[in-house]
Amino acid sequence: MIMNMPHNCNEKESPSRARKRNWNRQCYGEVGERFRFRPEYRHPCETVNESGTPPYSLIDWSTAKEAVLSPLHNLLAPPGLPCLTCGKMISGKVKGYPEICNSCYISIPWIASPRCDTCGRPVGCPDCSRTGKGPRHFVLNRSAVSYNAMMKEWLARYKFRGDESLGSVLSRMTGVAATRLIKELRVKSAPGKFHFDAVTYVPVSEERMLERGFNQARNLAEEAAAVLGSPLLDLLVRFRHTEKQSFKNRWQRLRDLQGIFRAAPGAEDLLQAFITRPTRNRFPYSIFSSESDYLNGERHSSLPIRLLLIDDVYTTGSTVNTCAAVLHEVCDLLGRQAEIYILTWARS
Amino acid sequence: MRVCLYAIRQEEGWRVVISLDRRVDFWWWVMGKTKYGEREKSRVLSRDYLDGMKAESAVKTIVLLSGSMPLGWAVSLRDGFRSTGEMDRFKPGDWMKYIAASLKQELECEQIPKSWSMSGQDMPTLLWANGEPGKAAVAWLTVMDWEELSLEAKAIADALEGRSLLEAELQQLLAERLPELRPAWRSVVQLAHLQGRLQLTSGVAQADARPGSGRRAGRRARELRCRRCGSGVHRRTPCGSCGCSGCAYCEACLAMGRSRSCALLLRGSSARTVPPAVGGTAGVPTGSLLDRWGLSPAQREAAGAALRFLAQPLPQAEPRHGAAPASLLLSRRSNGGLQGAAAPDEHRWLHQLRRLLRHWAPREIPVTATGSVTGITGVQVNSANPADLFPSLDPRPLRFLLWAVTGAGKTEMIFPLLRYVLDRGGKVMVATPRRDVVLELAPRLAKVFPEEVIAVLYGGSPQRWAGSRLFLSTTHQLMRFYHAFDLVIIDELDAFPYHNDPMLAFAAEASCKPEGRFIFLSATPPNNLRREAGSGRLPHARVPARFHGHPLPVPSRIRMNPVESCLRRQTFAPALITSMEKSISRGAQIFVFVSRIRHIEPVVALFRSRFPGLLIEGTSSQDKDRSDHVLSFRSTNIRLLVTTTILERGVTVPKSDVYILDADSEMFDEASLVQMAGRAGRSKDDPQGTIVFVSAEWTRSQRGAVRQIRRMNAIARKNGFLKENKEVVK
Repeated sequence: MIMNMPHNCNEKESPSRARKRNWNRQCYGEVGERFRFRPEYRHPCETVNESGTPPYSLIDWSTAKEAVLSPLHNLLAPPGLPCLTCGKMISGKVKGYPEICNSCYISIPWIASPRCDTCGRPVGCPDCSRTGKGPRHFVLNRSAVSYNAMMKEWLARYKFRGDESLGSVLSRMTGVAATRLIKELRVKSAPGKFHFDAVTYVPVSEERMLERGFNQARNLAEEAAAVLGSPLLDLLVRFRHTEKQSFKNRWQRLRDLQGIFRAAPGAEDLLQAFITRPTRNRFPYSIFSSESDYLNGERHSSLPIRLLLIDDVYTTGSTVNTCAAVLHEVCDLLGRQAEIYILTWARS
Repeated sequence: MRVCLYAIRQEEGWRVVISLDRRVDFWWWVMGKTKYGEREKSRVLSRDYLDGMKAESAVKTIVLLSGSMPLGWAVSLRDGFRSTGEMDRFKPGDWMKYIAASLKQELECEQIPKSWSMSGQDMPTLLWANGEPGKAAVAWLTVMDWEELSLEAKAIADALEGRSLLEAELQQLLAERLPELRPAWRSVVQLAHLQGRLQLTSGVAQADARPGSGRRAGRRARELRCRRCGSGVHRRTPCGSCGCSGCAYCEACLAMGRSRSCALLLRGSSARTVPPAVGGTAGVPTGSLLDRWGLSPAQREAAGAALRFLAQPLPQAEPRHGAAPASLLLSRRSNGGLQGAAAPDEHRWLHQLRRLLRHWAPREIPVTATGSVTGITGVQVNSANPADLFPSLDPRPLRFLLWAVTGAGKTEMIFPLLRYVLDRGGKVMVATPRRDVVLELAPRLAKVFPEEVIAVLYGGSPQRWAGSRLFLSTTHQLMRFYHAFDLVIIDELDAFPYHNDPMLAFAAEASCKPEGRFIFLSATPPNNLRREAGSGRLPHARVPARFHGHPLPVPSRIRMNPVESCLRRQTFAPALITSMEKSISRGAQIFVFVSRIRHIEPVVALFRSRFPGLLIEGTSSQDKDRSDHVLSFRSTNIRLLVTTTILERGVTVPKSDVYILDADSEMFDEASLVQMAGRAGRSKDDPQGTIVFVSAEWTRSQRGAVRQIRRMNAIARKNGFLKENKEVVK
């Protein structure tokens, strides 16, 4: 038995360890430390318990101590937050994204410079140059990230599982892409005068809304609208409820989308109300305003209405294209040209 | 989801009912109780039919409180409702005031503070008064195929027996088992609800929804909790489903489908089974029941104790806690659907305080004896005790701990227990935290109980919605049950993810009937259970010896620098290499446990250079071919397997030696050291095995593990469970 005693299995022992062992021996006897506190062990006088005094040997002092101390501990040193996406404790916070850890943030596949000018793909795009496909109703698409496996998981958690705490992260990412988009457009267009008249989003059907409780595209659009300073308008409705797009191939997607989206009732009036609304820097009687600004009201009608349409993922572009077509119809009702820009969270 | 809510006056008083389909309700309360059933075929609502209703209906008044209300609000109103005499004189306006007062908190949560009348709700209307239908009731008087609906309601109630499902899960169940009920599920569910076979509630609700009573316990009592997993709910989002701007959802159990304030949670009630041991303890059937299972003496003794526990009648008096202040603090209402009142995590300190105070209570001194089943019956409290004035905790299922060493043959021991409960017509659940254990156990159970259809449940299991009497599942799936089982056996309760997860503990407790039994099974019970067992509060039985009757091999120790520095120097301690060479030459399979996944690869490389010609592999949770590696290790193709705690339990390799590197790492607690040590010497042919803790420091957990193993051996020796006593003492 003694041969197996762990203390003896090495001849050499550090002096401090030997001291500690001696101390243990003195305190607890030869048998081993803490023998007295083993639950099985009863001191002889404690077994006689007729006076009604509490059996102290049975009191769970360690849990009692824990019960009192752990809230105090937590108060003094609040436990760190786990990363929203990977669950590990956050050590270094990322600016703007306090919920996720540094390594998760680093692995976000941002699209800083798209290769395809039309659809915003970071790699060469055969789709946009392909001839013989239907008309494109939008000007361009830009996305925040490429849709890799990790992003797919994030979106699935948010959209299908309903983890809405991820929604704010995705919205902020879309907001970043919106800023990037407007900068790009301001550079491209004549001296920095680019402005979206309104932001809208791809709707979900009523059935899906009842089931899911939220529209992810609308939540993304809210942030984008806030960043751009443009009004967020509900211009579209989804009429028919289709199977989830994610389970379909290209051909099925294109075929199934016919006639799903329509203009929301009163969409043109809503849009009209917002595009004719005077804004502060176009206030006609300002002493700073030049004559051309003064004529803004009339000049406006010749300019196209610029709308930004938001969706979560751009795959073939069929969904947003259908929506863009409907938005064109709405603008036609107002007798105005339209330019539809697309902003999506991810580009697959 | 939005539902309809109405108040109904019956003989005994007012009641508030939630309705998914108001036509069914009207039928149930008014028409169903009259002769109309016979006239149904004529499908005419004639004058004399209405006269008939007047005469026979026992329901005096029905008031529609709201035609469409967020489910969360409706549940809150219903659960907090108390009938008063004044309500008989209530005008619609008074009802409106009552609703506004009851929903004050909910209305405050909406971003614009609104009164009830301004929130776009219709006025409460009279549907039925003094035997006359109100004007608004016309739309409710429709003709339905009552008989068919009753049959369908029975089918759905049977399918949902003991289940606790969200609406989305109900849809899946219906699609699989009762596809014909899908279109009209709301009517069918409503009828089953009215019949009392289904309970309708919301996924997230206030812990104590009764207005006024929350004041004593402060704000804590009013906080939102998930009724499925018991966690506190803090996140509110705008919801398109119920239209609230602050609809709360539970983040803890999202993986099992989203539980939220307006999500319908259906709980099917189960039939009560025969109470155990009608004739007292005389009918305790140990001998004959145990004979056919071929158990070893140690197994047999423990299984006998567990059987006696099952056969023991319920304590007559409801267990009460003696100390008055504790009862005051912990009084929990046991009205409809409030079982989720205290979640384990939030109220842990309260529970601990209660446990503490219980010891100071006079006359409650538990009797302790290994394997005995005393010490559970509560103390009789005299009526002057304030504890009687406040309802005490809900009766909790009785618990039993089966503490069996690694390799004792735990699974064989549960067979007679399952047999016993099944024979008495009970429903049984065997739950374990790990999915691979479920898959491994399923064929064994099927072999032992060929006549039972076993439902095997895990994430993505094809049998998820199957009905059965014998369930085998992962602990997560327990969330989908409510008061369903007479016996719940939790295997490996100290394993991840069950261990330290209050959500799963809550789910496990909720899945067991209040009069049911719990059996915990473990080789290394967590500290709190060990303490409870030690002090006699938890009846338990120990199996101190392995089935082959040899003592557990005791770990020895080799001192070595941390693995990190060994890898830097590309060398291991000579003592370790010598010991491993010995193991290799005796033909043993070698488990090497490391504390970190990132160590596996370099350690494998270093061993390969040390022992050329030996097949060495590493595996971890991130290894896709894990099962292949384990299989080829078992079949002695791989001789040395470097792994992490992922293989610490549930793996049996006939002739194996165990080396635990960095045994002083904080990743290895006492329980996992004991479990890893338990991989050695499991077979009859090689009962000894070598276990080596390789560490720089001799830590508390290593000491504890050695002590625990020695103690079990000592107990086994004392009880004569060891075969070769002389050889062992040596």
